[in-house]
Amino acid sequence: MVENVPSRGPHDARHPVPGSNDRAAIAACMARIVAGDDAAKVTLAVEFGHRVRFVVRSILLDMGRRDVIDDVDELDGLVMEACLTIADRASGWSPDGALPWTWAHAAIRATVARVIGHRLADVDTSTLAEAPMGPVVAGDQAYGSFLQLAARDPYVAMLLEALRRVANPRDYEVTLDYVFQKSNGDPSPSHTVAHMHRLMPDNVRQIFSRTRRRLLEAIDADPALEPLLGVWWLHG
Amino acid sequence: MKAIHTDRSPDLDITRMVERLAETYRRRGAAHPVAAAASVTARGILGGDIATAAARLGLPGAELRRAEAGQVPFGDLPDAVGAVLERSGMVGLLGLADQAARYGDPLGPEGSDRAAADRHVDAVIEGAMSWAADAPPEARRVIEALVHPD
Repeated sequence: MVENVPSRGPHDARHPVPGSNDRAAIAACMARIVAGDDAAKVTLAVEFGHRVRFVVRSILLDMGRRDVIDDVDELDGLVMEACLTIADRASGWSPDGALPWTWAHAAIRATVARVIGHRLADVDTSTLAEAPMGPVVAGDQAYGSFLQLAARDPYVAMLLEALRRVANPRDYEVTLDYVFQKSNGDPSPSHTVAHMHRLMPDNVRQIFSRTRRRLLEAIDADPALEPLLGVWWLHG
Repeated sequence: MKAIHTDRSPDLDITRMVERLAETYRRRGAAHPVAAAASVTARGILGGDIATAAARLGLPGAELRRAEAGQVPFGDLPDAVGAVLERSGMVGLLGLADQAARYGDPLGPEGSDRAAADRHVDAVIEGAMSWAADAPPEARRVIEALVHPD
């Protein structure tokens, strides 16, 4: 389903897939950081920096900063800043929760933004009058076609498959509709989706929140799903 | 079709973290903050506490402890420490030497002039690069494991 994903076989001894043993290693490393051992910060970077780099890359992609991603030195510097961000907050991390780089995603994003700043782009106001007004409403014929086309993309297919695994059919539909409305600028997506599914807006928000949490847990439990950490609405 | 890449490159450059550690140690008043950061980094690469890391490097624990406490000039660091940094491919030793110079940290033994200090740093780096060949077998295995994880 997904192309060009390097194997994570046992030959990659230096960067093993985080299984239970690896979780124990992560917990031990974080405990040493909390105890004040600076060498453990280095260990965090050396042993798990490639995973932190994935998070930093996803944040940069989300920010549209491919220029920074292409600058290897700058990218590695950001990864080190991200590792230090995790280390600074290590005392608040729980071994029973999400992996450190997932748990500290918002803080890492803030660090990245602080270091590189935000790119500013001029708005081309000449095109605004021609743009369609109002959000595209899920349920339209075009929406179904869009979803089918989107599912041809391996990344989207991975997301939809993961979503099906963690949500029942109704929650799956509600979540997708909610995300779709929100991404299209609907100022009240929960009301729109509630009307579509004969639910209360509060229910829609609860369903979205619950599904999002379950999807994050699934990503934590299955490293193969790690690319999904780049999905914008998982960190809203 | 869109390709998705995971990012598992082992060639991460951790020099900025070493520099940040050195800056922290400088603020705390360490006499040789860059050397301290370099020593801490070497242990972080190897993993383990001071006693364990020192044993793997064939060094007395007290020597590594002094280095991590910032009591040893950069140019006087044990070759084994430099070797770990060099062979890991993750740290730019010359950049650290520059940082030490910016901090006014004597690069060579106390009392030496700058030219001698530079020569000493060159010797340390050169020694670090050739150290693995003469290292104790256990330490050599550690270094090789870092460079050739397979």
